[in-house]
Amino acid sequence: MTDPLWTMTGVSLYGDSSHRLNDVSLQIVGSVTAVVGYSGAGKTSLLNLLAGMERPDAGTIAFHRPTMSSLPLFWVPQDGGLWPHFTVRQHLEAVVDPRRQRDIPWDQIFRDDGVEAATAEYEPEPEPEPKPGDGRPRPSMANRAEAAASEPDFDSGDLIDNLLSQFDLYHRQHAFPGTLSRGEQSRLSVARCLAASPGVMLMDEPLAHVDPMRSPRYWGVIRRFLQRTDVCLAFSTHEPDVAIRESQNVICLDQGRVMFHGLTSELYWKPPSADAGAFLGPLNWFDADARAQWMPCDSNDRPGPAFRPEQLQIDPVEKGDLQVLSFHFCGSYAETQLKHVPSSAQRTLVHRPSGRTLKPGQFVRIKTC
Amino acid sequence: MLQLVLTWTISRALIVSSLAVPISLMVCRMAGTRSTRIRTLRRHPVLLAALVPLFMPDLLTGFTYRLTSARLIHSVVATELLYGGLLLCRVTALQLAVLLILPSSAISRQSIHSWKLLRTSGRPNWYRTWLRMLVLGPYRSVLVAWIGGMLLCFQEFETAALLQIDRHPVVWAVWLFDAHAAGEPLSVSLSFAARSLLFQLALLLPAILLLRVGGRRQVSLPPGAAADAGLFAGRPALDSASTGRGMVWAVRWLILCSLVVTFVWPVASNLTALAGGFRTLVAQGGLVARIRQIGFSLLDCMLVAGAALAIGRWLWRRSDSFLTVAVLLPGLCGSLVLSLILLAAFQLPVLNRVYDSWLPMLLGQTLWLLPRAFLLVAVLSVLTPQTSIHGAILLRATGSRLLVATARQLVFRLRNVRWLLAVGILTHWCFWDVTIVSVLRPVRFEPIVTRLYNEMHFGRTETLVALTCLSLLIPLTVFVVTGMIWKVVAVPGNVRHD
Repeated sequence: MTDPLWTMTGVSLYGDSSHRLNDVSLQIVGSVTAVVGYSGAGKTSLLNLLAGMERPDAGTIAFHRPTMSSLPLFWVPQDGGLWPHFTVRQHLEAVVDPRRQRDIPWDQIFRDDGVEAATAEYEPEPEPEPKPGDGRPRPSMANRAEAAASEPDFDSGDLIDNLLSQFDLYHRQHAFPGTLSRGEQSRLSVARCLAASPGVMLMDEPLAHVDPMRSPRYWGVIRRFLQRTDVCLAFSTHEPDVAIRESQNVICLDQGRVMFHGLTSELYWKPPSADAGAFLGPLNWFDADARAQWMPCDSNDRPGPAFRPEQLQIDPVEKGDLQVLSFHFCGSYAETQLKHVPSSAQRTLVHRPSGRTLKPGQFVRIKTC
Repeated sequence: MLQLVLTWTISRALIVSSLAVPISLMVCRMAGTRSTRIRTLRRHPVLLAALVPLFMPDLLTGFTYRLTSARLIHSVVATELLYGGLLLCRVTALQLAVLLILPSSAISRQSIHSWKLLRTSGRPNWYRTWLRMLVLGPYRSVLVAWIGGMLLCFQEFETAALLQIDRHPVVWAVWLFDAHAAGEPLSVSLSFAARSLLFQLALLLPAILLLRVGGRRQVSLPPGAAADAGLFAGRPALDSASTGRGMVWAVRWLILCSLVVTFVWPVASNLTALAGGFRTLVAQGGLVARIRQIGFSLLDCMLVAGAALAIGRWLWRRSDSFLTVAVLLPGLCGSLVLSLILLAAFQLPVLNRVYDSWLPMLLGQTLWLLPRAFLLVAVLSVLTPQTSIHGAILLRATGSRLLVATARQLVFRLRNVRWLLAVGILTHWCFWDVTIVSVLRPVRFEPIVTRLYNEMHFGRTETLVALTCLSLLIPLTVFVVTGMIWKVVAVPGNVRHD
């Protein structure tokens, strides 16, 4: 989907002491767009403008209303934006449009595609049996959605049951927002947005307060929803792995300015600068001179200058120009400080871990892979 | 003489406000977790009961206890205790409101503990910084609440004026008002008022500094984050102390007594005389004239409340502290000082043309209401973040009629009702204020409240009771009907969630 959703021209938003957004011009297209940036970079300001909650002090924003849903836009604001006098269940009931829901293959969305298997060892908090008088037994995950969606008379109650179960909120369905934890509020806000099934979803750091072990499972529901519908998503995050995993396009903000706008894969593999590339996680930057100095023996023809940790390997050698000063294992990558002995220059590299610890003083060579 | 009266009033304010602090802190703590206090207000009857005195007209309280005061005429102590007790109920309510809504200090308990850890490092000025942190941190909200209580006690006029049969309770505002009404030249009244103004400024300045230096404003934090940041006044100093069961019961009893004294008894004692009063009022043939008088007063107050709320919203959005202080300061100095200053200003040649018009009164009422309006705007902004309302607004764009109706009802509930309530509360406060209208009203306009105030001095008749009830009921009815009409207009059709 490459149709533009928003066209922003020279948009500025003034803050107390500096610009929250400064002369932003860009076109946000369909599919999934991640907005990344450090704290205070302007992510929330941008999403507030896109949602129409704030108006720009300068410039224009045009929203090209999608036609596939009767509800053009809905959002998940940073604070959840919940309605204090509604229970958890009522939040979903208030936004479900049965006419729209009939077109959505909820059974496929609720059917897990393996993400849960990856997190199966984690036991979610137990859901108590429904109280007598609740009127509904606790639904099993996918089978009820399947049944509900295949029935000619679509029952939004079943959909709500399933959404609540998917986001581990079924046992809290009669609770009010004021009594929910931050994680539960985040989950409810996301579930409400899915239940509304708008043409475009805006999410400001969704699931930010959810524990990292369960977060991928909820993201899985969102992803399957996006894959099986023509709904678009723009979301902000400062978790690089979420942006890489979930988005096709990315907007990098820094101090209210757009640093990069394009494909996520492009920013990951071929960032225009080290600073921009760093938004999607650690990377090494070797221009031609640095490459000649630090990787003289590298026979691979991999183009640079950006190298992600998984593209670099450090191998111990008997004798060479590079000496290890320190080594730090970080899980999926390792961080090693090296010294170029002839010039006494030093630099820190992030690279794929080889399985053995590099010792200070050891001679090594850098290899691309 | 003024010196003595001022000293007496200040001493009373000091005692009452200091007594109210532990009570309001206890009630605040009993109300539950920090972040959910306001949101779950309706589930805390103790909290609601404690806030009731804030909404009871001073005039009605004074009128109810005037006979009691007359019976206590020979005992100065008893009269002062009666007045002090009534003030205590009101001040506790105010302090509680302040503790509930005051944004937390930027200096958290964790910040103070971090500083405590550095104690052994022999840092110069450690104690000074530590004290500064305490004052601007956890004690900040308590200090501001205490100052607010002092100001309320110091500025109170209506109840004292009606309780004062002989010379007690001694209150500077009544003394000055009587002197002014007795024909004291305005310049003399102003010179008297200047001293009380100085005292009030001396109280206000530290409060403003405490709010400005130690505060931070967060409007739309998620509730959980608000809890972490201690948005709702943080944890007051006594909050972490373990509270005995006996103490909790004592506070509950105190709140119950306060409810009976300030609400139940004034309502019950006047209800008995209501039927007879209405009959007399109808028989005398003055009912229509009185209703018209109430209507004009209501119209004036609604206009003023709307203006004050609009200015309050504007100030809140601008978030310019100097401008806010400058605009709110006149109102914070109390109605008597404010009205005397405005009276003097409108007697200047340049403004003399509009002296006998509605302008001085409207201006005075608006300025007086502004701090309260600002407070209400702050409360409303915390109660319903803009994001919640915007979610409902986005939902309105759907093609489904059912969802549109739901969205409209949500917007009505989250936004319109609360603003209507805010205008209602401000109108109520404005309607029952005697001082400003007495001093600044145009000659041809007599608000119902000045008539009530004057007649209440001459005894308790059934007609007066009926007129007072009418003055309470008509505005209430108008607001309920307005709300219903607004709802019908804003939320047409059937909606699922009620």
